[in-house]
Amino acid sequence: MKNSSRRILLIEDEDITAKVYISMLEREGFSVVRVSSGEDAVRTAELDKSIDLILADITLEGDIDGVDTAEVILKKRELPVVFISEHTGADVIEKAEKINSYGFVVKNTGDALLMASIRMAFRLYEANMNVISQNQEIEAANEEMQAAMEEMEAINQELTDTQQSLINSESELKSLFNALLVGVGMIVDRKFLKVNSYLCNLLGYEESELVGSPTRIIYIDDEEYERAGRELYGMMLREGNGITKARVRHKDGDIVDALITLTPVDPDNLSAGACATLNDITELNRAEIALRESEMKFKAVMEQSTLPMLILDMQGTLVDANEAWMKMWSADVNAAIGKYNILEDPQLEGLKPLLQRAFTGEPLDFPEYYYDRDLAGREGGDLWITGRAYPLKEGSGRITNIVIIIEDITKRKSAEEALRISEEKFRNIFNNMTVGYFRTGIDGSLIDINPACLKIFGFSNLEEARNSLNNSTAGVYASRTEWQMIRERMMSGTNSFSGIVNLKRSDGMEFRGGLNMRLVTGSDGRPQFIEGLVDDVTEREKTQEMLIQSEKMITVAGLAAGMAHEINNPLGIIMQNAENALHRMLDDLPGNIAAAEAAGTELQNIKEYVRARRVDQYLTAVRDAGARAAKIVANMLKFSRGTESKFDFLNINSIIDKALDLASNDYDLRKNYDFRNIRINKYYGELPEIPCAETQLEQVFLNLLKNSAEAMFESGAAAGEHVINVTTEHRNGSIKIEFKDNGPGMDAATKKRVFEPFFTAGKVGGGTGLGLSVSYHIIVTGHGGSITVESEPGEGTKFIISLPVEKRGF
Amino acid sequence: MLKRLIIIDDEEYIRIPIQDFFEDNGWQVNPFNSAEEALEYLKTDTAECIIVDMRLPGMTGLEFIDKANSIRRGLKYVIYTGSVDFNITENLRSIGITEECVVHKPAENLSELLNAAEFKPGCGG
Repeated sequence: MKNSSRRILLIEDEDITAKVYISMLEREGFSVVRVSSGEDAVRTAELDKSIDLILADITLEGDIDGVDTAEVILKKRELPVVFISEHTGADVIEKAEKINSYGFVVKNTGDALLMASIRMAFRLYEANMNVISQNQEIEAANEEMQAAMEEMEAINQELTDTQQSLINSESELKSLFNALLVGVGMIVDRKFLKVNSYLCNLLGYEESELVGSPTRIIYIDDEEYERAGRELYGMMLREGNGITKARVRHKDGDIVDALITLTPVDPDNLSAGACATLNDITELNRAEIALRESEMKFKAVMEQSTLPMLILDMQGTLVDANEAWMKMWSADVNAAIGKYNILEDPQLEGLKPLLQRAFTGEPLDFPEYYYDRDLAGREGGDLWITGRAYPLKEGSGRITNIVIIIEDITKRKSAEEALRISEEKFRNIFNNMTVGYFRTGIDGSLIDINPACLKIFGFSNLEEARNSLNNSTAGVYASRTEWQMIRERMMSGTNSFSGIVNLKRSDGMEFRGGLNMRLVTGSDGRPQFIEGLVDDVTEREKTQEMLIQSEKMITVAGLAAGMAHEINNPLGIIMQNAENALHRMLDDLPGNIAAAEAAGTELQNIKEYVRARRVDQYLTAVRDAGARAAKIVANMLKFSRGTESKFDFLNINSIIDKALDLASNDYDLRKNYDFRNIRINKYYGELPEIPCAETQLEQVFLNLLKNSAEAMFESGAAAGEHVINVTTEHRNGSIKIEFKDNGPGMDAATKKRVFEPFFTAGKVGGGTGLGLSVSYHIIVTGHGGSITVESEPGEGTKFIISLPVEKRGF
Repeated sequence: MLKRLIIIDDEEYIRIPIQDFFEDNGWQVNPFNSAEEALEYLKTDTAECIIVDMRLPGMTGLEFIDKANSIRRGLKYVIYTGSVDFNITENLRSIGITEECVVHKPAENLSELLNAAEFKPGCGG
């Protein structure tokens, strides 16, 4: 059957439905005239005689419905009618059946059924016409009718079958419409024609409240309504459909951010209305704002962070970096982005295995690492870094980037290095200082002491010192009272002590210890520990005493040189006049005899008178005293000239021999002893010749020998028991000479002053008191050696002289 | 004939006992307070020995010996000095003065001076 010639009058008031039918029918080759009301249909059917079939919607707007319309038309002319209805109620079908209809189709059942119904209608109609016009063919027609009826029945059966599925399908569609999670509304002239339940729920309205209402009611205000309308319709006109964000209002007043789209029902006929969708994007907006804020925060944190940060892509190329990195790197970030690749940095070769692991997405920390900026062509030189790498992930868990946070620890490193050097320095000082350093707890327990301190106290290590002292430093003090006094001073008052005290070595030997201690307190002011310095000053004290003596002697020497000459003249007057007075009174000189006679007496009488009145003794005493004073002056002068003597290379043993010789011949120097009664034991070592002033050393040795002899005889011990041992030896670049007697010895006070000028141990008048100080001067100042004395009362005296083999400052 | 002694010392009581002691021992003594006076005397007179102090007001003992030697060669000198620093100069040695001609002041006894004055060898002559 050819449909192209067939013309169908479509009575349908709904444009969308009409459009659907029109396109469906035209596709099948029919030409369609559409009217939207019964009145128009009647009129059109009258005017247009070419109409072959009426396809009528039962439900029509206007005064007459589809069935009534068909009835009116059919009264005027014979045409096949097919009804369309969305209602399949019995009343409707009944009404439709009252007229001579040829088909009944439920709306939206699809084109197949519609076409089949239309075709059926044509056939029925034609068959009916044939019956009417060709009576003779009635049989055939009846048969055909019968067949058609059968077919109709089959179709009806089919119809019944599909009707149910159609009903189902429609409710499905409806429920789909309502189930859509987007608000949908059909809008005509900015009024809701139809809305789905989602839209109702979204905005809090009942369907009946929205349908028929202007869309204005959902907008927050007129302005927003106008704006959204302008944008949506304007865009729809330009591009086919519109989209905008708008602020709409829930019925209860809440504001909802909505994304609204608008699509025309008929692009060619916009007055036909449009389909709008409305999405609640409030949450989305919020999320977007939150995301944006979070991004801004991240950016701010990254930019403001003092820690250099890098964002790298998965190939290691720089994507972004912050200011801090730029500074550390002295680089322009924009120039480095896309170019700098961390995996290709030759200076990071050592970190490459770690970096490669980081690029697998493992978060990890980098160890402290050295980077030479100069070598990398950067400014700033040495760089010590540490850092952390962690992956950036998308929502799906895919790693998109690696972030590296770097910490520039160069300063800390150099501070650490400085500290290490300083500690090493301190340790060096601690270990190598010759002064003892110690640290003890408040309770006196030993914390630490340096090697010098161990040596001073005679310990081999800290442990031994602790054990030996029973863990209390009280044990190093020779006097417990002194320790208590010092301790009291440490714990109160000055919290420090500085002075010389008697200390004790591990072997019990006492020594003079220069002690300098202080109490160290913590920042809270509580005592932490005691630290101090200690030194064995026994030798130093001795040296100091000697220095003082030496100074005294130098003063005397200077004085002597000036005085000597002036004293010698008056001494000459005293001595010579006293002497001459004696001569002129006691000698049998011709002048004396003559003078006596002239005075009317005899010289003999004068002699007797002088002796009787002891005038001779007075004068002798005057002369002798003058002689002694002259000797003192002479010795003082020798003393002052001591260093000027000539030096020769000589053997000390032979000088001692000469001194011994002189001493033995010098018996008349002192009348009260005989040097030859002393036993001399010589223990001479083999000596090299050394530079020395022979007469000076002779004088020293003679002096010592005579002192010993004098002391021994004065002590009253029997002659023959007196012994002087003379020992010499060459050792360690110096020559040691000892004179040891078995005399009475001396007490500590005497020993201390023995080298002092004018100090004499012997009887007053026994000596000048300059002998030993002159000896001291000769040995120490003249020869760069030393002279010391060891003596105890009753134990004899030992003088020890040490002379350098090489004269210093020769 | 008595041996003649010149003694030069600015200390009167150094001069007097020496003069007395020498006179007692048979010498004729001419004492002088200064070297200048002694030089004047030497221009017209002479002596067997001259005891001279080194430190004198005006002309020193050394200058005196030098000048006296130019006036009269072969004089015998005994240097009597309070200075222990005294050394016999080359010049003194050249006119025959040796250690024996030097007595340190104060002499232990006056015979020291007498011995030195009577010491025959050297000391000029």
